[in-house]
Amino acid sequence: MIAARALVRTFGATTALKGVDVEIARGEMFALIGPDGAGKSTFFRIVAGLLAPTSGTLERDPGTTFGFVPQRFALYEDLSIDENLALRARLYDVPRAEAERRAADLLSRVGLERYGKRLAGALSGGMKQKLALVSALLTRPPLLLLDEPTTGVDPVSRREFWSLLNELHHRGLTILVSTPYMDEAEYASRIGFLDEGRLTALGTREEILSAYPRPLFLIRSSDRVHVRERLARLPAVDDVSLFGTQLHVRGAAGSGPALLGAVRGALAGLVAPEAVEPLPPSLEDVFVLKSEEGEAA
Amino acid sequence: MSARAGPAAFLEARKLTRRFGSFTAVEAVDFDLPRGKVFGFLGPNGSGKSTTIRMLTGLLEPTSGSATGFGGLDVARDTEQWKSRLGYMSQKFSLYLDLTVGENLRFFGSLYGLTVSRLDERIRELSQRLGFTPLLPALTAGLSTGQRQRVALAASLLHEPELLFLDEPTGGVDPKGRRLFWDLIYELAAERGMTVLVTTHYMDEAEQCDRLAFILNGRIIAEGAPHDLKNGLRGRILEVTAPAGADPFEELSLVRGAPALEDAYLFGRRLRVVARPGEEAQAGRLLERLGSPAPAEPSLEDVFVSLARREPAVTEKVAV
Repeated sequence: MIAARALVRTFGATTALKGVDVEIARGEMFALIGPDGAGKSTFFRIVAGLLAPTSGTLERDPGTTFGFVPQRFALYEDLSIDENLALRARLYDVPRAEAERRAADLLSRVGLERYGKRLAGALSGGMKQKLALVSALLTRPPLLLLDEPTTGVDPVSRREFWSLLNELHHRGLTILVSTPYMDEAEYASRIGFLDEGRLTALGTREEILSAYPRPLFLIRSSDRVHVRERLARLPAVDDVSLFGTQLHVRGAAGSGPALLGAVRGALAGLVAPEAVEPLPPSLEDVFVLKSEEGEAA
Repeated sequence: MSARAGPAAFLEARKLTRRFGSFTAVEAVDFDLPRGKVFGFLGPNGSGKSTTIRMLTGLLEPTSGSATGFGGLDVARDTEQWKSRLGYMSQKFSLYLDLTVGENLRFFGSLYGLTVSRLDERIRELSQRLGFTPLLPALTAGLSTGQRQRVALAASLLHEPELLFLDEPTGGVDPKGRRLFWDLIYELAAERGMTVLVTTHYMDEAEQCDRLAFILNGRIIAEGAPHDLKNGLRGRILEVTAPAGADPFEELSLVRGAPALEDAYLFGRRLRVVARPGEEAQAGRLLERLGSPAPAEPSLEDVFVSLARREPAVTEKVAV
């Protein structure tokens, strides 16, 4: 439905996208994950046709219309919910009666049915988010673009928002959504990591995790200073990070699960062998490694 | 509220309340910050997290209630001394964008009354530890979110505070930067006994806190160690993956609303349900047609959602 090929976008001296290749098929729920400044919004603006690429191409299937929920609330704060929706329906030539029927249905589905007369500017953050979604869906587009819809949203609203996206996806909508939260990858059918303008990983969550090439270990110890000192002497260990009361240890390139024995040996007398155990990678581990590899290259 | 931290408390908040006109932002909040531990606040925007922090920093006067700490100081009585011994990093990072990184740090350091030589030493230490030494001569406006965050953290640590407040410190920060950030926080807590209060939206960060308080509508609705907070849900969450051919959404709608279930939702094709207490077996039977349901470890989000749904008139109901 969408195909980006060698997509590059520069702003003056800054290159926001450095050659992004990705295809998003009809019926996918695709999550683009990355921190601030990774290029997510630039990518969305190009997909939405609001910005032209500097080079490369972005193709949408002919006739594909879309609804776009940008990161910043873009509706009229001085109009009510009903007025905002009526205006959008008029701009897109949705007949009035049909527009009202759709609006009523969508508003009740997100729990806003009693707030039609309220000014958009007087809504809470979560309600604004839902209104923006309703507005984007009013024209019944086959494709929905959402740029960081859950940033700063509380856990309850976040789960409800994803439930709603899940349902829309289930009904056949193709969804492209971005987020800075790795744990939201759980909801997507496929994910891409965007880091400093480059797509560093692409696939299902399981595919990305299973391709992680390094061994990881978890160490429970209160003597973190000495653990670190000892591990610093092991050339096959290339990273040690504190996570609360645990340490996470990463093996260097070329090391494997056998490193467990070496780590236990290096900590002999300081940490009991059973306090060192293998740790499955998280998406964040993958992201961090890809980003380091990118810097080194 | 659950067990108190006891005599090791570095700060004690008692019946801390703040009203703005007729609106009560924080209502009779009680908690202890244990010395040398990382204490997390988790709650929706507008639940009172930042107001609580502003009261605890001495920037905002409580309407009633008290906060005592630092071995005998009272925030209302000893405000200036209190302020000089804490560090505070706000959501917005409050750096001067038209100054260089080094100038920002020297400016903040001079506010704390550090000598020039001590300040230079601290800037050197912290910029090395947080990996931004090459950025010291750079204009702050040109920094990424993650770089600004680490500079702001350094600014709040220059005077070696005994107590550090972090108000949503990691929003939008790259994962590598987030690790550097937390690595230093954990180290200062463990090795120097620095006490930390942090608000966050990242569940994985909340997971690493020594203790957590869930805040809703200005009140603490639960408090404890992350592992203990999950006890109430442990064993009650079951998960099954819809087999090929089954329609996960259809399956969800079949079980949703069943009396044995408190909640049901989908992660892609995985159907997850929360059984009501004592209804685990019945919940399992509901899922059996899809395969053998396996218990899943509750996440903190599960805990928060479960607690929040018990509170009346809190969530804007979404009928899916």
